[in-house]
Amino acid sequence: MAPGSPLDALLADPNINPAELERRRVELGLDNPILIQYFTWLGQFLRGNLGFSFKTQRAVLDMIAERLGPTAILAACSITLSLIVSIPLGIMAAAKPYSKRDYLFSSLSFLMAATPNFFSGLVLIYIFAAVLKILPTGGMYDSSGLRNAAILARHLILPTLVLSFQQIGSWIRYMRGSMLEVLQEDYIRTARAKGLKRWKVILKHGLKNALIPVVTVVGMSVPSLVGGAVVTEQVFGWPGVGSLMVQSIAARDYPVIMGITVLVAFVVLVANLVTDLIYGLLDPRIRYA
Amino acid sequence: MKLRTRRLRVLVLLVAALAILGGSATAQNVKPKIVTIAMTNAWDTMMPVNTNSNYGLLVYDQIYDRLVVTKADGSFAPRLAKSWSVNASSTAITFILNEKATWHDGKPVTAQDVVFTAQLYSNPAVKALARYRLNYFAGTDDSGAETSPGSIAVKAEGDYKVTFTLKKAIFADTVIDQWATAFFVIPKHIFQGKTPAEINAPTLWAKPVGSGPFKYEREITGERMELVANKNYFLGAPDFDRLVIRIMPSASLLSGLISGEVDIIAGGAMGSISLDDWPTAQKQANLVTESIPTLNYQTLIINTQQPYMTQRVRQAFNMAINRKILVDALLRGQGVALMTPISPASPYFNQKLKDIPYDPARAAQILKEEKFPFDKELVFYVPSGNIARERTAVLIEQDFEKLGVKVRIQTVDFPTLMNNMRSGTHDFGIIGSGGTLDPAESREMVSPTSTVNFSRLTSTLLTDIIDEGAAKLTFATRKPYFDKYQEMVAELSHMPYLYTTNALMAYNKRLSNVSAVDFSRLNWRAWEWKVNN
Repeated sequence: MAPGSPLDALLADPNINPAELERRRVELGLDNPILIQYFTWLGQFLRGNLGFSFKTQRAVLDMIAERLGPTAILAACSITLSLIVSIPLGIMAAAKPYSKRDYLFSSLSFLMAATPNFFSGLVLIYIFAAVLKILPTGGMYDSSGLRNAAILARHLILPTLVLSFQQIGSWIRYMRGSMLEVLQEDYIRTARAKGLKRWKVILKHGLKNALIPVVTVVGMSVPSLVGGAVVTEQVFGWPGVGSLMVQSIAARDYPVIMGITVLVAFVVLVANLVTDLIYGLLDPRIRYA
Repeated sequence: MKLRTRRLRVLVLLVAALAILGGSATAQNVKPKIVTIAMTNAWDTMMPVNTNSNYGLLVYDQIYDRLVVTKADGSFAPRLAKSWSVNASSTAITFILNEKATWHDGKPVTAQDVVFTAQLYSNPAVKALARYRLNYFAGTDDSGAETSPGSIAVKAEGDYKVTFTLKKAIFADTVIDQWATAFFVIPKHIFQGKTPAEINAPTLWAKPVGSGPFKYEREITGERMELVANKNYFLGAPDFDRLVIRIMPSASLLSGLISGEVDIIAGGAMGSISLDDWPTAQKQANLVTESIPTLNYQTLIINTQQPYMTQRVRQAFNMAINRKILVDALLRGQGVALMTPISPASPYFNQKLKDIPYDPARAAQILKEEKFPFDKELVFYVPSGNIARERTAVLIEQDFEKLGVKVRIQTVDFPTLMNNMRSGTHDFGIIGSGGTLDPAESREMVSPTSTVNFSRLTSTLLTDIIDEGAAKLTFATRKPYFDKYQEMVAELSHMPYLYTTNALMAYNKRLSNVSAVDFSRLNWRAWEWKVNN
């Protein structure tokens, strides 16, 4: 457990009466030993109740549910963009290894993977919001009161770009490495020997097999995007699960922290299941009994 | 042929995308007057009395009404109460309500609503973190809870007059500043007959009916609240149609202001321009900038219970801090060095108190005389999140290292800081406060029985002088006690006070009639802002 209790956040106001603090301690069940608190939470969880936030007194399930939508939209856009960019670049780099093109894409991928999100976020905000004034600094909608897909799309551009940067960087490397390995295989050589064109061989025979390791990496990224796009959400004021997690940790709001942890665990399971199913689609030899 | 079809498809898709984006632009051509105000954190609850966070106050201030508000100079201004008076013995405060005030649903706001609000907030079964504000009134205990059902001493006399009776004679300005300015009146007809469980549930508060200048419309949790103007507001209809309260990271506030996405920031700790951004903000053609003196303060805390932290040693550390560098270099001149918790902006500031001289040579000499354990590494806790404060800690560490003292800074989050300093594992800590006009504001920090007595004082010398001063009923009779308190603080050096920072405000030039100087008193008066579209 991190030092400090949920009541410590309340002590920021030194005038809060000790009797009120004690009343709050009992009310929140913080007067019980930690094991009792845990099993009380577990009992509630098994009945489908994630409890109530120490800070807002709202149902944790409601709090997470209203943050899940923005997070899912951002994660989906980011994964889509990352795949659209990284797979072709990875293939192109692998198709002509150690060429100028390969070096260019490899350098680009290292640069993207090494750039921290907070840095790229602030740079993009400065350029596109403060200087060019063509994109918003953050949030989901503007102040017009309208809420439509076009406005949402404008607000998604910068956070999606930032969240995708590091992914694109590392996925290009995975795709390149995987494709290079596949291109050494005998069946690729056989296909070329039969007179098939180079790109047809790569795309028709190589791509599916090369995608398997990439699918694993993408599958592993999903839970971290759902529960951990913390920096991007903070920089852009995006009201997702990541920013809720940060606020909850700062306030030692354990029911919310536990709720998000459960959500991430669930997403890990689902992502692994989907990944396994995609393996089967990509390689017919993989079958599940 | 195939290529042409593909190009045609791409063209159609582009046209469709432009049409969608253009559609939104067309819809925006009908321009309602909208003002966007940004702050850096979200409100934690919509129950006005169940929070100790100022972020909620910006929201409540728009939806509900308080009895009075405080201005920057310490005077009070009417809000729901159009006037107020204190009886001769200073044991009762009577408020006359503005008879034009109505709830958003059209019903009149009456003295019965004020009585009901006081009774509801003082009910211990109702969750109310800020209930302590009611503890001035007869019929309540030290926590502000009623001693028996409905025992809080508040009485309606007719529809628009309400009197609160105090436990004892007290300087009424303190009560008004500490309580009336944060007493948001709620509608009796909405809450009457509800059980405490129903009142404690967020549902009842989610779509609030208030009497304030704006009506709740909708929100995106953690991102914004959208309000519409109450055209029937009794103090005058707002000059604009919508107010959007946005939550933005502090690093994006200036970008938002420059791009026009944000019109104004909440001010003070709730959203000010950072020191690093201040020169850039001042250069912007579309912004009005104001550097406003405040009552806030930052202070070093010394654990007086460490055996080597004698009073002379503490005084040595106090005189080893180069406050001039802190103010001139770190704060870029946007602040003032402090010796006590009472800022020069307060009427209680002791003009005669001499500055503690920066004298590292003398400080080193004292440490040697006191046989200070120079081989010991001292632990210095610094809360994360405030860059200026983190840099302050580094500069102080360097000041102390010049004396030959080893200091190890540990940057931790706020709950960890609280936990560690309460358990007394620190030598030094650094902490800030918003400050108030009440000169007794720092009492809890020096009370031996307080949970925030981080310097671990065991003597009641300071609380005694504060309590004596607070018991006096006029400014003139109180001032000498608080002058003495400031002299004692400087002498004891248990908390070497460092500086007060100006609130660095900025707002778009399309706004006018903005009294930004009052923002740090949590008084925005948004209905008075004028907007040029």
